Amino acid sequence: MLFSSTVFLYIFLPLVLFFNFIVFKKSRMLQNINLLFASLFFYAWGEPKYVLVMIASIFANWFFGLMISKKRQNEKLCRFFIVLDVIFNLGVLFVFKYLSFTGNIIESLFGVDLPIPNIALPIGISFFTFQAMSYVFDVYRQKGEVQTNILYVGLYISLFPQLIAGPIVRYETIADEIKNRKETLDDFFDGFARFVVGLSKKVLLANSFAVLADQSFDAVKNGDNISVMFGWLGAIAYTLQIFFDFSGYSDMAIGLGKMFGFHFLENFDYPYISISITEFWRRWHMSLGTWFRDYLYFPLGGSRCGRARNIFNLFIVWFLTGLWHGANFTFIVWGMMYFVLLVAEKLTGLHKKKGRVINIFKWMYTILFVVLGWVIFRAESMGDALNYLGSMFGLTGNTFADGMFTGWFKQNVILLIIGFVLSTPVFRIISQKTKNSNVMGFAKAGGLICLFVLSAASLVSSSYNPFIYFNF
Amino acid sequence: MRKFNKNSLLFVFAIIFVIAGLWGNCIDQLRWKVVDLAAGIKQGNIQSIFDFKKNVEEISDKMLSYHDLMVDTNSAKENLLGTRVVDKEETLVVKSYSGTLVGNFQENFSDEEISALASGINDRRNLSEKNGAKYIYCSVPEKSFYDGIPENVTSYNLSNLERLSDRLSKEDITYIDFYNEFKDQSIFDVFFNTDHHWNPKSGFKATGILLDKLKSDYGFEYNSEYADIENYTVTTYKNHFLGSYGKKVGTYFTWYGLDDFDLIIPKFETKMTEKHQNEKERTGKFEDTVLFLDHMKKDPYTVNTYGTYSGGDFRLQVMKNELNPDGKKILLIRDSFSCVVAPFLALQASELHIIDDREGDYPAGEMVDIAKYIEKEKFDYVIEIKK
Repeated sequence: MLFSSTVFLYIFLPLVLFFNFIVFKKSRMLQNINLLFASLFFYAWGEPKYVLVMIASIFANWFFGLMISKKRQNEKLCRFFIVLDVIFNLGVLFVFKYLSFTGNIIESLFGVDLPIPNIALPIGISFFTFQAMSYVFDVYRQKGEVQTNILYVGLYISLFPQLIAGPIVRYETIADEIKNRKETLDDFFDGFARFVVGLSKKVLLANSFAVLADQSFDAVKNGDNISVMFGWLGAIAYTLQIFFDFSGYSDMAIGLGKMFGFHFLENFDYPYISISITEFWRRWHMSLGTWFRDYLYFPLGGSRCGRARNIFNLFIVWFLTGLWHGANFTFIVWGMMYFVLLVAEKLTGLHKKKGRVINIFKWMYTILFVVLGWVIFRAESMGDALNYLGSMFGLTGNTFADGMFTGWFKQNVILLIIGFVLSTPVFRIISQKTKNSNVMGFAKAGGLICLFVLSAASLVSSSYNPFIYFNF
Repeated sequence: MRKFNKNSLLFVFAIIFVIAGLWGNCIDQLRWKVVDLAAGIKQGNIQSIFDFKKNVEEISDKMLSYHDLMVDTNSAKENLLGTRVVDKEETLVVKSYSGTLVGNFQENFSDEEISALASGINDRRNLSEKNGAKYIYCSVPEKSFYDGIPENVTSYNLSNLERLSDRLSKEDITYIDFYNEFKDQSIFDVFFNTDHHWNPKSGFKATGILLDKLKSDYGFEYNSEYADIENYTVTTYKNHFLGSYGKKVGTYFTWYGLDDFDLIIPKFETKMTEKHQNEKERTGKFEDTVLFLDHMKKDPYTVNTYGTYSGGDFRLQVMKNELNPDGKKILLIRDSFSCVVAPFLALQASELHIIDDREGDYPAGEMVDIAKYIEKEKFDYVIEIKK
């Protein structure tokens, strides 16, 4: 089930809210059971078979967490269970996500014919697997109380707001809230407002940019020689699509969590205003970045080691960051691109240089690589990626501009302007400056009502509504 | 005193909005589906769970009380944003420069494809003449011939037609290019705004052009009074019809809104019969037989008003003019453009047999073997009207 669907908006969410806040309002235990079963139902709606994979993950991680908690005095045994937990979780991820990819590589390298099964990827497996590992790691690090009740572990891992598209909620963030959360009316209403903002970003903006981006990327995939400007237009459209889609989903997740009394950390902080790649990764998909930082980079030694070792640690993290996004060389190359840029910034100190003019240059270089990175990320193969990039720089014998560019640009110019503006924190600044103004408060509520209606209208019209996390 | 949280207004509005959408048919349907699911589970029928899921999604997508209003709202939003191209349900709908909805864009046909088309038409001509029927092929005009379309959409429809026309004239096939006949008229006069079809008045005019051609080439005698619009009552239903493209993109995707719809009924006496597929034969006046007035109910997103004429598309349909028993027997091989031609053509014949031979599942029903049908029925004329 998707948040951006009529069945979620009109049936699932109202029912879950009704049961949580009306029927079970006097019992935290029943509320948690309701949320757990609602979350499993939410997942099973789209993945009826693979909900069993998630249930197996819940059992395994509950067991490992329990064992670590019981054997805390025996450090060796604890580490053994951690290793087992990692093997289990990454094993599941490997089988469903990377087996086919690995098999194809082996076949290409060694010329053998392997019987590679065609296994479908359960939606959200990368998210809930990392979340499940976070539970066991945080129990080991004593950053959160072990849950002896498997239902609560299940609730943490499968909680529907963040289940299929993040953010990756660390166990320590909400450990206490599982049993001791306090729902307030302000949180509830503010959470719902946040949900509507996210829904609008996804349905009104991301989906529209998707139509445009698909045109150019599909054209290249089909062998068309697109013009330079059309290539740039499609790349920029995808840059905006992925931001509004992903941050929109995060907004919906954070908003829904808040309604139920859970306070997730922010996942996006206007990444396209970044003036360095270092800064970009402190603003983009922060939950993934901090997950890798805390559970991989720091245990490897982080930057508290020699330069060579530090670079090696960064290489591991960025290789895996790329690989996490999908089983394709495009994602690995994308991750490696950021590795090279981050190391370059570290070595030159570029990201620390200040000055108005230099900041403009830094922003331009950052956004350029971000856009080019998204081209690689979006392409279905490295061949398509290189063709697309070649088109953007006129290296394919293509024209500078053509009817495809002119036509699509004219039809999307208003949306592009809106997209550019909303990629900046202008509304946040206005909101903060006017937070005590009653008039602005009512205007904001009115604006959100309009966005809600327009989003519902778009969903009811069965407008184009792609789900881009199928690789995750 | 606690500060009033203005986001509460949003939530209250949302609750009312959701309840209003579910109220009525939606809730009833959901109730029935839950009952069906419970019954299915009780019988151990796992498939009932998957059916339930599909049904619930369909109900929430299509049966909200304000479904049509939401589609209209979305269409207005798209219009304001400047959207001109929508790809929906495997149909590309484009807003032309003059603001009308256009679709059905063809790739550039190869010479072999044009030859194959011409060859097929030639075979049909030969088959008809072999069975004693005179043959004529007619190509209908298309909206993309008349108006500019955005630069990011390509259309080879007109050039494909011109190449086909050349081939047909080389094969010496009696042919009407209706685009030539309607070329000097405005797109708004010939077609609906929200649909790809020509309007009833154009269909009536096309029938007249066809009859003139049959007369000039084959000596076909027809009743000129029946071909004069003055002998018909034309009732215009304003803002009445949402065409197939409009249904996909919404009423306000163009600012023209709903189309007007003309109901053309003879003033003179008529007595006809109509039968299609396995349905019961209808007998009576023109408007009770070859018109299907239940399609005139105003329900833009549900009813196909265009199907008022001929009832829509059927694999096989027969219209008879009881007042012209000595008239000619005609076979019309058609696509949907003939809906607004067939009723007026039927007045000029004793029998008009209509076959829709389009490939695929539409229209529903068994495909008619045209060769066998022509051999069996012994027509005087075989007319083919196609896009």
